[in-house]
Amino acid sequence: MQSKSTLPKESVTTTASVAAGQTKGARQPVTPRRFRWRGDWSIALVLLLLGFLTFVPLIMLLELSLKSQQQMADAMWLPAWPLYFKNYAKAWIVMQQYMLNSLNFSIGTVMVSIICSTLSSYVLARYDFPGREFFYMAILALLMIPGVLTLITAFVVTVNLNLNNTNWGVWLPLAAGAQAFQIIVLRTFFASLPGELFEAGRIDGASEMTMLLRIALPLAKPILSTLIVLQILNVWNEFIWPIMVLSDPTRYPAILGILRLGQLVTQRDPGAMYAGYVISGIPLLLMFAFTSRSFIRGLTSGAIKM
Amino acid sequence: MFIQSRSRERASFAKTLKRVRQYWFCYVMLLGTFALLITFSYYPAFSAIYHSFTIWDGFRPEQWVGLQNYQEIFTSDIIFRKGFANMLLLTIWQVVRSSVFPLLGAALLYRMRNEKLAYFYRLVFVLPLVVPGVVAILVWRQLYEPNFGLFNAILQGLGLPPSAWLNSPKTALPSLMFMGFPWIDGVGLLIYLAGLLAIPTEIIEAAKMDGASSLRRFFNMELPLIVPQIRLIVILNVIGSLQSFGWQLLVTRGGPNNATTVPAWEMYQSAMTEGRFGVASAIGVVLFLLIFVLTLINQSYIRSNVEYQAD
Repeated sequence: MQSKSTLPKESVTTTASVAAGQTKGARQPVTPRRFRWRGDWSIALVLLLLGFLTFVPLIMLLELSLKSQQQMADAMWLPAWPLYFKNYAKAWIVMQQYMLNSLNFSIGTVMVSIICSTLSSYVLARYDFPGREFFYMAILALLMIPGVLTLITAFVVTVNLNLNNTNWGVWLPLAAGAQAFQIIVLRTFFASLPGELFEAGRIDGASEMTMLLRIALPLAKPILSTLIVLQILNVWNEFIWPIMVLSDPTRYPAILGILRLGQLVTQRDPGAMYAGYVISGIPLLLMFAFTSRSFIRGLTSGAIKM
Repeated sequence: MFIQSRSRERASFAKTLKRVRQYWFCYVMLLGTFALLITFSYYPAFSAIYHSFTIWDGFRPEQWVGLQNYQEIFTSDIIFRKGFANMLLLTIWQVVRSSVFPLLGAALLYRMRNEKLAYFYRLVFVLPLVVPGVVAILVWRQLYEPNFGLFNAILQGLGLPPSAWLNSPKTALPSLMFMGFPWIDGVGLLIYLAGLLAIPTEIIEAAKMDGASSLRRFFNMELPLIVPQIRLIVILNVIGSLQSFGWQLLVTRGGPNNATTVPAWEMYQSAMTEGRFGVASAIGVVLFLLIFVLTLINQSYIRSNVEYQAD
């Protein structure tokens, strides 16, 4: 198990340093070469083409979301003027409930799972209580259980606990699914903190809880924010579990709400449906804009989740 | 202070008990996690394995039938022949596209000298990850739409006959595979780029001095040195691909004529629409075993090659 985790850990740290923009040390600008400018230009051109192709569906989506029915009938895929912003107003009326649902699922899941995983990883890293290895192994073993094995039976458990169609039916299972990853990352972090810090705290008479709250947590802020960003991304994108446990479509998250847009608004404004698609992704875009470092770090550390 | 595992091993029962009392709060702090895990991970895993040998509607008492469910899976034309064949094809394709195209992008970015431009392009390729998976699927469904979709509009513009894309059994699976063209996955790109940037500059410099061409440096030096990253991406994509059924759930429902069905979708169907939770559990167990074996194979490779990464 020890050597197994070596690779992912390393790739996390290396990518983390990349994300933090520390690439300069690793890659120094080399002595000028003959074809320097030409090399960069051809690379930029190939990448631009690839990037453009990657973005075509997104551009199409944005473009469609800003067209009226008449403009679509004239030329479905070509840009049209003037931009028809009414689509967004119409879509928002339908989407706001679903957006609130998604927000609720994200916040609830993050709260439950971060609290649980912080407490567990802290004691697993810092105290040598009897059974510690057993508990940690039990968590590592989860990496071997794929979601597909437990999907159906976890659904049965949720229904038997009467949690289907409730917030808890989304929060708890999704939080459970994130525990292994979060605990492994956080435990590694807490174990790396120097013991003297806690020694000093103990001499000053701090209780165990105070040391967690006053010493460990402030230091863990960056890693916690990475985990939170990654989890929000995952919860926001989760659709299979909500579709299973939520039988009442008004409780659907935004990502499933957009499926119902078709029935509700397409009759007169097909563009509103596309506007709804865009709206459902805007919170993630905002999150990316504000936390792009944590965001990129979180995405690549997903590599650990084998 | 904290780690005294040697003495712990030698400690007598009474001593252990004393330590349990001393560290009682540790168990309390583990309670939340393990309550979650037992309810939603450990128990469902064992339940799935046990119920795969039974006929079960999910809620009433089950009936033990031995290997009957497995027999049904492996003799079923739809689940086994069609589903596993599709899964194999989709997985192989996923591996190719996740290892080749992001690697190409990363290698190009690595060769870029202008730091700012390289950073900009990295951002460009990461940005699509913000798009929710469901939105991407729905947008591509519109592009494939036979009557007014973009692809048929282009075909018509070129004077070519339109295609039914997702609506014809022949073209449905290739259409699924083509989705996301040109297949530069941001996560893969970042991981490959990190691997490339970790290569000591002296090695590359030495090769440049010796006059090794860009292409040659890539195949003879960079590629062998990022094998661990490639393996990582490959196994992550294999695991993800074996379990995914988003397209099937949202768009194709496994059709037309079972052309796009995969075992994970059959599992979902068996349980959620047919109420055959025993068969569903058995499909889950088969996929689990497959993933388990593939992970083990991959892990042993990674271990033998981990020296590459060390410096």
